[in-house]
Amino acid sequence: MMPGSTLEKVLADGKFAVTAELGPPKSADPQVIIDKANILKGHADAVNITDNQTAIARMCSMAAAKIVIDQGLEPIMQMTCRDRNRLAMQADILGAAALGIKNLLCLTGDHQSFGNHPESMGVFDLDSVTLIRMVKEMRDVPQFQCGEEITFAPKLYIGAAANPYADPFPFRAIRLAKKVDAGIDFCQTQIIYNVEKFAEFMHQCVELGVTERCKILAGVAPLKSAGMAKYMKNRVAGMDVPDEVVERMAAAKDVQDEGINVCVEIIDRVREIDGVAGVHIMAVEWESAVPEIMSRAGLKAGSAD
Amino acid sequence: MITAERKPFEQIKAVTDQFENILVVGCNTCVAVCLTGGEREAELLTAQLRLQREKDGISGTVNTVTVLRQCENEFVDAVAAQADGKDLILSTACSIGPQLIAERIPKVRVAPAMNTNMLAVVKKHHVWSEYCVACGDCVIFSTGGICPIARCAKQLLNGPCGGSQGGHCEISPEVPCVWQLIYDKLAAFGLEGNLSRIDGPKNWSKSNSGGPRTMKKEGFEP
Amino acid sequence: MERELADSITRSSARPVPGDARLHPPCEVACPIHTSAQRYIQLVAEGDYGRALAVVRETNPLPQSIGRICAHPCEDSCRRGGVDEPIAICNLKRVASDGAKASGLGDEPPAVEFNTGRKVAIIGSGPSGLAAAHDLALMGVQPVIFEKQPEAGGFLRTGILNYRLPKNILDEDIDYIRGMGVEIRTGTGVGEEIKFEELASEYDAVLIAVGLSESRSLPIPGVDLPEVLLAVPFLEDVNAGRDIPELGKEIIVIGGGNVAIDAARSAKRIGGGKVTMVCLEADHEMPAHDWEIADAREEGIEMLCSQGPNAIVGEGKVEGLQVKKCESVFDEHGRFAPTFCETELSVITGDTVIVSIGQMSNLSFVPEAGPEVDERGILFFDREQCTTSRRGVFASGEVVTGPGAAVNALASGKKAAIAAARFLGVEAHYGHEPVAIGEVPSDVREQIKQAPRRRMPVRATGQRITDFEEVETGLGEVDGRCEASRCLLCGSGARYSQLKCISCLTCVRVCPYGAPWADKDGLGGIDADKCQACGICFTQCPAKAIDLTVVSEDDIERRIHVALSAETGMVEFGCWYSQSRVAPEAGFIALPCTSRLSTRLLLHAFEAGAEKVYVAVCSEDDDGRFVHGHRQTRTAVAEAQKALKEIGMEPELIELGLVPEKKCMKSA
Repeated sequence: MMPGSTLEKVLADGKFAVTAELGPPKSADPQVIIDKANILKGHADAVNITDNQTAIARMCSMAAAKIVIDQGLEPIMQMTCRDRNRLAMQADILGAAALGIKNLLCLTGDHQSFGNHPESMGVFDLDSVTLIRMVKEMRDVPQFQCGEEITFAPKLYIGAAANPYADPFPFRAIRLAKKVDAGIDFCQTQIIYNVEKFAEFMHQCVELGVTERCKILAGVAPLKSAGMAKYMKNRVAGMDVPDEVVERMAAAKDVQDEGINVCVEIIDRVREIDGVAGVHIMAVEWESAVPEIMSRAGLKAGSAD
Repeated sequence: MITAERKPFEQIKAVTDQFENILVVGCNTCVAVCLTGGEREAELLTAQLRLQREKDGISGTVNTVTVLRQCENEFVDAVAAQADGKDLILSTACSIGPQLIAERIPKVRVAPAMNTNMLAVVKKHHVWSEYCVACGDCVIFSTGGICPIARCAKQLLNGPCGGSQGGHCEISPEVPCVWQLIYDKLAAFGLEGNLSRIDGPKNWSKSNSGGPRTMKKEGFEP
Repeated sequence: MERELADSITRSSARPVPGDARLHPPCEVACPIHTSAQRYIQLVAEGDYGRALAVVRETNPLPQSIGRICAHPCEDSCRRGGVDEPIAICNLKRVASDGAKASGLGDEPPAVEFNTGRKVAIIGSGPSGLAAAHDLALMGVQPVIFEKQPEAGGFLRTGILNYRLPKNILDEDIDYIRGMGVEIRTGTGVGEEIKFEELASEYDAVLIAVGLSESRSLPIPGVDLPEVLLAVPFLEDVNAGRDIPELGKEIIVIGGGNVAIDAARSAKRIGGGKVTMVCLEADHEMPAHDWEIADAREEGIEMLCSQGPNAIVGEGKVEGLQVKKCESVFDEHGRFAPTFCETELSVITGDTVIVSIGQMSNLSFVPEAGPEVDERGILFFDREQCTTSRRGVFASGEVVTGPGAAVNALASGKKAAIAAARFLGVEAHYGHEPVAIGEVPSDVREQIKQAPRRRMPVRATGQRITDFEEVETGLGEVDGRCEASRCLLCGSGARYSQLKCISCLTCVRVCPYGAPWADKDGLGGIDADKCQACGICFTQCPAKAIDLTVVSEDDIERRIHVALSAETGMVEFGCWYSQSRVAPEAGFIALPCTSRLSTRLLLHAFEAGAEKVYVAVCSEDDDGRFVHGHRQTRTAVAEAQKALKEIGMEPELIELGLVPEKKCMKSA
């Protein structure tokens, strides 16, 4: 049985969905979350709550997601394979569902060497594909990974990430298809700056029939500075930032304004691509940019009336 | 082979400075083949220790002997007599060596001179790469003869992850993305379609995670 | 520098004999007396002339003489010949003896005790008789030599001229043998002053070593004319300083061998006239040594080849020699069977003819009771036992072997000495025949640096033909050591313990010459034909399974301790060919090349008490003796410096320095 989350309904109705991102604090302070949630409320259909993103220890996604629910905003909980084994994962999945969390994004996770605890052990008991399958079977069979029956199934709308820019490129759409086979309902892509390549990827997804079984949300992010553009181009694995974008940011007089403009242009272009069911706006530590972006792009949350 | 790297001298010295008569025991199998702990290296370390102790005014002796392998009772027993009168045995073998020495020559303290690091292949002279982590359940036939557990930073069975770019792993441009290699290998055989199959989750109970392992064999017992 | 395994599948081209672990350098094997040429050349390279001479004396009782006149078959087999030119092994023998003399190093004969109670009479004091006497004396058997000539030396004295072998040099060699207690009774011809049977009864054994003391003559018209001389008596007269009134101004020498050459060159010096040699053989077939022919031509002696003597013409005196064209000298079996064109005749004018067509022995002293002589006048002789048909009578040298080089006569005499000693119940053993390593393979040959052979300096032609003083003046120390540096140290490179080898393949990868080879079962071996003894594998082997034959690790450690005994606290590791130092005040540790210096040996110097270590290295362009050798030197130094730094010692305590003034391995 499906959870009937807001995101699920918007996408099922064929409306253009908008999701955003909310990073939990590196502290035990719930107020940070409350404030961010209030910025995004009414603008996004659902917000991703990151899970120790880039291997930096933060308040866990589940707790932050509950706080977000209490603010009247729908969370998409994230779970990586880096920090938990299958026992902990299944426990958290049951717990999340019990707390009323209805969306779960299943990720492999950035390697622990990137974060602030590089000496920690990377668990990687499962990978994103087997995690997806496990969640689907917990929801639909319903059973634990070991095969035992679950008497009260967790109902979750299952998502995953897709990266049109990673290598090997010919395999990327196929890998998304693999995740669809494993059981995802939706996916969010890596941040798009190279629209041509993304379009090619989407074309392959349509050919494979992926778009009929899975809702694809295009990832976008406003650049805050030329430095950020360069950093993402050179230092972040799996990102494709064309030189023109870096040059535009470098030449801009009001960088943040330009960053928002770039983002808006990309949204306009990707909306036209066949198979794109929504956008996922990642304004990291700049949640306030989301309303502005949506306004300039003429976007409203699919759930807004 | 098992590879090991010699510990930084300060770490070794921090231990050896506390002892008077030291026997440096070399090993002429794995660590000799990877050029870090064989007789040549054991002799070199011995020369260094002697010079350092003379300079620092530490009394006592440093001697050396090398055995063919330190993971074998007979070879360790063959030099047990040379440990008489010694306070410390410093082993340049992989960690198995000093552990066996500690068992077979129980009255003498034992210290490792090496950090054991990998089960490795020789890429070329002086370069060794990790190819196996002894997971106990080898699946490399399906991945074109390439191990995704040892050579993928995230041990993916359904890789690659989104961090694979230009054929290398997100953790370093010097680390190849093994799933790129697997993809290329299977594609060369026209088998890239196999990668749509979902594999796993892995049975980790057969690896060291399931507990320290013992292998037994049936056959003629002496 | 790494090699794929496939390139290293080679096989040694020789196998050592059982019981002899080594494959020997070909010079040693080709030498009839198996002198350790390689060893004395090394010692010359180090400037240790006294020990070099001692090495020569291990096998050679006439070192100075042989070092001047030897036929040097060693040089023909020298592997360096395949690279550029053979080592001047014979010349270097003289460098050793000259050098020992110059440094006043005593060449004292050993004190010998004739404790076996046995004595042997030796007839003839030529090279084989002297060699037999020398060796018998060392075995405790008392030799007494009977020499009919007034002075000892045999053909070395009477047949070879002063300009090739100065008589005082020959005297020194013979005096050494006398100094051992060997009695030489000159002016005592057997068959004249003393009878053979007296020797047979008084001595426990007799050795006939009378050589080929008579000249053969030619049965042609005119041979009885007064101005026709036979070579041997002619040379005897020259050597004795007697006047030779028959010698004119236009001399024809019949013959193409070394004796004919000596006759021609002597005639030139005495008369100053025109000298022409006439021989049956074609130019390339002349039996004389190439270098003798070259020296003679330089002195203006003409050679008329492929001509046979038909008649000596002249009325009452020699006016010329009629010759006929010789079409071939040897038959299809290589036997001497000259054929002539009887109609192609010509006359060469001349006033003197010297006949030098060969020699024969004078066995007139041999009694009825034997030993027996065959119908050709040659003793019945067993080559293996050195025996004649009469019990207790042995023979050696040219009298039984036929004409040959002096060094062959030495070998024959030494063998006869062992045979006689065994006959006398004295314990004596024949050495086994050593086996030589194979040729340098062509791919390795290309990697060996070319360095031309140092030329023996000779006196100017115009001047030297006016006297009988020595023509060759000796290589000298600088050229001698440079020449010695060209030696490839054949068969003296890496050897390994099969027990300790772990087939890690490091040696296969690091060897610049591809000498170690491996197959699916591991390391197969180290090919001695390819190994250049650079030492890189020795420094890198992680299991210490490899050592070098020359110089071994233990030897290097010994040299370190010796260098430190000078108590300057400083040592320099350097190449034993270079004649200049990075640090002249440091104790010197000589190695064939510092490419064989391992990291541990550098640290060992400090353990042994050095306070500062210098390491000489060739520059990166020059590269030194061995391909990439200097890179190992530099790596070892860097590794040792790092090891010192790790333990809190100054890395500068080891200092690398370029060899200041490299004299060797360059054009003369």
